[in-house]
Amino acid sequence: MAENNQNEVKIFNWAKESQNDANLKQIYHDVWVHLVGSEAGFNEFYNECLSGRIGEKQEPVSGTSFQERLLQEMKEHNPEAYEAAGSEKQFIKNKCAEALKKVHEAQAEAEAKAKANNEPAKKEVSNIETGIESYLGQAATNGYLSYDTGVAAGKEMGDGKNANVECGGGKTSICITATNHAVKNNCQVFLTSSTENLSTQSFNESIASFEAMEITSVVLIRRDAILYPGKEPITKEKCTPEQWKEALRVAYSQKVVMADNGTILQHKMAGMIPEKDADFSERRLIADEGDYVKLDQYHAAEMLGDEYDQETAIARLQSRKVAYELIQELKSHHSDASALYQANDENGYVDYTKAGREFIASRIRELAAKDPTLNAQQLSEFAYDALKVEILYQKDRDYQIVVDENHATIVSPERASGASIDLPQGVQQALYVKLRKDYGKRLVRPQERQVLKSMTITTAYKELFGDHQQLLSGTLDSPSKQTQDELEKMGVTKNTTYYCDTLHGCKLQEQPTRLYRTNDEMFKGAIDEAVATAKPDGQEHRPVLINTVNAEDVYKIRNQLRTEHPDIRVVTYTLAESESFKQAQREIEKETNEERKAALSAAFEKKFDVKPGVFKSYDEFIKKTAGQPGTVIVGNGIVGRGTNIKLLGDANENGGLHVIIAGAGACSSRDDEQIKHRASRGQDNGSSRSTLSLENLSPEMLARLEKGEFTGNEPFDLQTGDLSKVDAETLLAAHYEEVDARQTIVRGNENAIDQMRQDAMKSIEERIKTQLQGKPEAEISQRIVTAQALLNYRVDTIKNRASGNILGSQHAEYAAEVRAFEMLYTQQYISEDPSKFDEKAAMRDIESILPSVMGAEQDGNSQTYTEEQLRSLENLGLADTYFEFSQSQIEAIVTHFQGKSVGRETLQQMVVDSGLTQDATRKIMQQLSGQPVQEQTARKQHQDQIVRE
Amino acid sequence: MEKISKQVQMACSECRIICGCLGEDLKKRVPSEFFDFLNKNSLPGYVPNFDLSQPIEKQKLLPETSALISAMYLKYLCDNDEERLKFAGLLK
Repeated sequence: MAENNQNEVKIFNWAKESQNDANLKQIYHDVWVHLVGSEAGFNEFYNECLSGRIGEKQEPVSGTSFQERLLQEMKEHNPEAYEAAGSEKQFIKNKCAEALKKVHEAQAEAEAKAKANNEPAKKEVSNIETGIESYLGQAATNGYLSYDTGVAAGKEMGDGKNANVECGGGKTSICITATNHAVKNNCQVFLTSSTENLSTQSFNESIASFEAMEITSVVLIRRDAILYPGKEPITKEKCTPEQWKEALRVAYSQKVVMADNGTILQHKMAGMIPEKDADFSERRLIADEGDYVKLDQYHAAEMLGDEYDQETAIARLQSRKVAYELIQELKSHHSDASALYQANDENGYVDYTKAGREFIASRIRELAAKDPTLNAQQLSEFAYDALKVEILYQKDRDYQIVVDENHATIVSPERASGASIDLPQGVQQALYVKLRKDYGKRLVRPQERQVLKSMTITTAYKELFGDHQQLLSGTLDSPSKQTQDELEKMGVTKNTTYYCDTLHGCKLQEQPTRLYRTNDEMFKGAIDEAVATAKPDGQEHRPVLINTVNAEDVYKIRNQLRTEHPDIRVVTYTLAESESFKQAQREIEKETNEERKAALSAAFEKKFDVKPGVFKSYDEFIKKTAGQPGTVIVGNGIVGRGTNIKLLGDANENGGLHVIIAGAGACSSRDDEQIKHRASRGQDNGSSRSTLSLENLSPEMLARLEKGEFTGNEPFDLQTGDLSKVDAETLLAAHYEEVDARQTIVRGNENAIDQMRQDAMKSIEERIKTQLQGKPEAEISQRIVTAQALLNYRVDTIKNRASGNILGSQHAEYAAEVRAFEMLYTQQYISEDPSKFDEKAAMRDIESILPSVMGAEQDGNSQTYTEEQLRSLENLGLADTYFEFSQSQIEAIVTHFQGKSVGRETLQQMVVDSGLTQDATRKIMQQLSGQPVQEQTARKQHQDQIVRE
Repeated sequence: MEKISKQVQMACSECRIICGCLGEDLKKRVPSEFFDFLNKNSLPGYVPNFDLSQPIEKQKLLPETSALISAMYLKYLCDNDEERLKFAGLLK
């Protein structure tokens, strides 16, 4: 949790700040009075326990919780009702139902009175109702969920705010209260999580609460299955396509829809999510791990069609190999790489220069002359994919290799962490070709399918929910300023977010960051620390979690631990391990031969140290068994979210779980925050330490270190310098800023481009509707669907050619091309008779015309259009409209800011804020005026001298 | 003149917008050739990614744009060398 901020509203002083009936003390009081039947005991309990929590003192309080004490009082005051109910749960249910009835009666009475006085009736759900229902829900889960956070933060969320709750602070409880609050206000709620595992976990934990709150219309939708509480799942494989579509339609019309983001995205793209039912006042998103929605799952998911047949697949792979070799040739063609391609890693941008493009084009022409069957256009696209993965894609940051004993699979970092969105098909294939020589036959060839459509989660949710999106997370207040700024831009600000501490404050003890020279030294350091913490003097003491981003390093650490410390229990947690656990259990279940079954079971037990069938998933196995004192868990990103490792034996008394991050800042500061908070869940003890090595740092960071930025201005020798003199905390903070900044830029581009596509489609739709006015609706919608398919296909091709998953400063060309498509399509094809419209012919036309129109052959250094291109634009009658488009957009911006009268101070501020250096200014201006850089060096030194003086 | 890079063309587009917002007193001091240069070299089809909900001084600019602004400031808007040195001192 970030440091206190005056805008932060905390649960403990909520009562103090709110002087109206939305007052926590008042809620406690009212719930008490309604359920106990009198005020008796409340003041006493308030003075003993609650005043410390919600009053001035704000001290952590131990002892009886509100819910326990309330139950005790309820029993004492209503012994007969307790006897009659037969169980505590039933007793609570009865008392809550009785109390709610009274509340509803009072509400009805107030409404009638208001009506009689011609006053507007208040339809809002009252705080007391939320308070009682939360208690009911909480009690239904045997006290698993925290009442305090649930009632306060849940109500805030139900009213439309985001919530930032420390990890282990009872997010599930808050989701339930918030959902309840929204449903009672007649909303349909989509309660989402980042992964299928988390979504299922949330469904299982909350279902009893929902039932107790009488919300029975709840459904869990997973990609190929639909689950209603207490019923057999409906699965896609057992349905006909029509039945499945209908089943999804019904499921998506329930009051509470629970699902993971990936599932919703896939269904949205396939058009399986119906419009909001008219009975609901609005459709609302409550997103657990909400920062995932905004910041991680920005990568467009792909909707995939049929697999290519074997012959085509082999031909494509062969072509990709040729493309890869072409790029290798390109790299060795010139001693100065910048003459052939330009890359900007910060923006995720790479493209050929004019010379590079000519080289590739001439080589493709040569190859095509030798082999007439060669598809030159395809080879050109594949070569671009190869260039992209060769220059831009970095292992662990942009892709990961999930390894087990026999296989190595290329996946996206999100996929390695359990989310469903994977790398684009083209990138996967290009990486496969590139990495094959390193991994040999172990590397699994990704199956290639036709990409029908892609979309980002941000766009999908914007269409589904508009502004009705509430986020819940532990890392909405990221430690990085870059990410904070980005979230603020998305509307996630201090004012729209409810900040909520855990009941007793988080007990996580963060230990000083350690810096090593190499990764091997860092891993050794982590192992030594883990062993010393888990089993000091050979005694089982605490569980330890070592996290590293790379799955291969996970196994490296595991093997080293097993070899050097055979007495330590080591558990590994990676996606591959999880899949293998699931697969092995499935095989054992399916096996009918008893002998073979026994052999499989024995192998399973040997591998996982547990009998098959005891745990449904590896996730459950980890959570329930890995928290033993003396155990060392080694895992990658998959341990980051939703993994509550239950502390067993004396683990908590001995200090709880200790987390060691080996290689901090590999993905983002938020990911590391999540990992750290696997320790000290709820009120448990725990500690964490971040470590990093000089090998993890970028050349820029190393240069800063060398100059002395992190050593009190003492120059630092990277080979021999004393690492203890480096301010590791400041270095880590700077490393985080750098990592997060890159993500922010790339993410912004990706989302903006997706938005352009949506805007273009809306515009085409409007034109179709206007031009075909009066035609049958079926015809119009058929044309819209066709246009959509063509646009998506076209855009994805452009996107792949441009720079695929990572798009940088090619924004402008992309926007122009989308716009040109829009113009071309609407002008050339819409007015034709739909019955004569040949989709394939249109696509061929567009394919052949667009590249020449929009500059596929553009000069690599200068982006002005050639005479030929402009003539093509003119011939199509598009030149004016096209330029009018960009001009009008720019004019609109100018008009927007005009009259603001920018003065000297503003200009100065803009330059200072940009962080521009004198050196950079000089280089840019020299470039601009065409003067060689060296010529001005003496003058610059002279100017610098003047400035210093 | 050599062909200028795409980044600088994009910067010209951005700088054009900022110059459009200059106060009249400052606008008068910048020669029309400078504005012509920006107009001529703006990247066709490039729409600067400005956030219209934010004031102009909060926009995230390309480094080249900032360089153009600082050059314009140094060359046309400073009254004397003292002011130039002071402005140069603001840069890192």
